[in-house]
Amino acid sequence: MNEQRRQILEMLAEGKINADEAERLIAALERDREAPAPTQRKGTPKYLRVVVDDRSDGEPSKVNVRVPIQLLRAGVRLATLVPPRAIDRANDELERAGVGIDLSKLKPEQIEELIDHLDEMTIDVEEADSTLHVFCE
Amino acid sequence: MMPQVVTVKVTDDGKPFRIWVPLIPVLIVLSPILVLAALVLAVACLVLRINPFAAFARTYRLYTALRGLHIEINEGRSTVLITVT
Repeated sequence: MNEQRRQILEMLAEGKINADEAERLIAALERDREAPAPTQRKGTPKYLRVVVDDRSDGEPSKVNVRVPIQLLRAGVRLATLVPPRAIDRANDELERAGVGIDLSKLKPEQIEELIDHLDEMTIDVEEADSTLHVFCE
Repeated sequence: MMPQVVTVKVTDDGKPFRIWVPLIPVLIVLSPILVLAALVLAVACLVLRINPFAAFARTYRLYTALRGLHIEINEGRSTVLITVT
């Protein structure tokens, strides 16, 4: 018998509550026990896994990389020290390569937030003879 | 916690070759070079107007975060496996 149920029965024995009230309290206790916690969150992921399987050349090849999430965070923090001049040059090179991303607008807090939500992300790309699978574990 | 060992395993046509690199003894042996590299890095930080202490702290953090890294590449009968533990 658990502690809360015992307390209810003691209150009933002492005459503090009547039988109907005791029954309602016990029913409420059982409901609470059966219902799962609404904001139950999975454990924080430790690694980002990238698995690439390719059979396009006839010979099967596979790449399996496991990157610690802490390494991503450390990389983001180190990247905040990159001087603005270097970011401008990188932007120019990206633009020349046809990639329209402005790195100066990418704030470290935004990347941190992205890393925080990586556990909810799974990427599956499947083609005829190759697959890409990215997930957190 | 600092990474302790880097394991490199190369299998070529079924013949395995494995090497374990204990990082702390390697760092001790390379410490004179590391001191020189740190001085060069500090000068570069000052020239680029970056806080050298922040740069060292974040580089160290990046190094310690390497623990758990696992890279495996298979192609046909050849495999390269690198793990940091």
